[in-house]
Amino acid sequence: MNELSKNTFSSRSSLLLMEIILSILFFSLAGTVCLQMFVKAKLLEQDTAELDMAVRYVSSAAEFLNQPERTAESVAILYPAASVEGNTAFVWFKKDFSSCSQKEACYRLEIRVLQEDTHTAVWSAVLYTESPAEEIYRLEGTVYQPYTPQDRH
Amino acid sequence: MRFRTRSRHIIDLAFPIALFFVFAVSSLSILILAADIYASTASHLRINDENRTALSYIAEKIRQNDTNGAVSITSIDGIDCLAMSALYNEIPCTTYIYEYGGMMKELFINDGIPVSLKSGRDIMAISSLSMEQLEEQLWRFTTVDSDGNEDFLIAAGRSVP
Amino acid sequence: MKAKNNSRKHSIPVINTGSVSLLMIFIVLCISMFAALSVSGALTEYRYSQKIAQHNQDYYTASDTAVKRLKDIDQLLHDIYLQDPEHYYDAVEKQLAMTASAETDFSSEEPSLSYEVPLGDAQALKVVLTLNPPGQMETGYYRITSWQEIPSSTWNGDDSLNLMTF
Repeated sequence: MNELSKNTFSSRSSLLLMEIILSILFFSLAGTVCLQMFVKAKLLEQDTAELDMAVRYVSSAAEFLNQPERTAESVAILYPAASVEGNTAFVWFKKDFSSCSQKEACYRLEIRVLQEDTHTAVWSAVLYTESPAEEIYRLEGTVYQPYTPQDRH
Repeated sequence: MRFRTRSRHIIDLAFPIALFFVFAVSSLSILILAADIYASTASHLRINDENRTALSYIAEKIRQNDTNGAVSITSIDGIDCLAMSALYNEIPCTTYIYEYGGMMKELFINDGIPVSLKSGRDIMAISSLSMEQLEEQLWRFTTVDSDGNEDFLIAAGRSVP
Repeated sequence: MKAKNNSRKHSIPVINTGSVSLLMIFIVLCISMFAALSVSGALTEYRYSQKIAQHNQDYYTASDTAVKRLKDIDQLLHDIYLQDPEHYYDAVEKQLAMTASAETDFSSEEPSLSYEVPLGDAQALKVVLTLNPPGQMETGYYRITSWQEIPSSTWNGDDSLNLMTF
């Protein structure tokens, strides 16, 4: 009888071990899937914050540029640290969207103003990530300076 | 015939129990970690939502009321207010948007009636909302959310009286 | 009887068959729930951000179209004024009625032109230009008195319920 109880005990112990092993296996599989979902949620959260910032900065630039007689140089009113090359102004931002130099930049705002004729200018404001250079958000528009009776064709 | 069985050791009892408890403790700690991650994600999303919604709301309101130079910034009781005038049933009225007591509020009132900022309707929670006129018909709105993050938006009006 | 008692003495306390599985199922369910909620919440917020970005883009696209129409109207006003400043308003009314580029209102002292540009599915950008009278054209032939986002469909306030139809 003693031998019988030893057998019973032994088989129950094996069963428990087997059960624990299988549980760990299923838990690991489920954990892998859930970990991927958490990572995806985190990445989406970062993308959301990035898109929101991009929309705000580009829209602000657009509202500023939509006034007549704006040039790339006038961007310095909004962003004193802006660097101007011809018709294009560049503003660089760190990860937290504070202004910085080109070396430490994570984002680049490119503002272009092109004079089509004496009364029409076309502008564009685009936010890129620095490396790799990827466009996040873009706005384009036209600014029109009206005619007056003093203007002749 | 005698059945051959191995002799019973304490490890036969202790090992499965120990393994079970190790599994229980580690899986519970992973559960707590998962709950923390969820709470952190939800909190960040909620905080990001504050500034985004407040500034988008202001921008939309300006665009929807840009007639006859109706949009302006005024100060009432030392608080910056965005004022948008309009005629409703031939009666001049003004809509004010401002921050009061940690809430962004909107007050719609007939012109000529004294303005009480407390009476405004709550829109959403915001720590601070400040307004600055950069040029004529060009304004900067700056909000601070409950986490202390500051965001701004520049808006322009195009209509004149 | 004695054998039964013996077997009971040697049974493992605390942990029975199935308790490990129960714990594992509970933990996995909870973690899955948190993961699903995180992804769902983040996705909802991202889609909302995309909607705002798209609406913004639509606004500037509509504004751009409105500016181009404004340019054509201004060109027309300029040509008409240079040709016949004496009968400026009459000529403008006649010309715009032919081109149908804008709705006109010449009933008041300061005539106005208006047009709408679609903005997304449910909104439009309404532009109203008030014509400056001859002699007050230093800043141009018109001034913009409305650049307003308006709903393009009327709101239906019908919240009645069809409970019984007979």
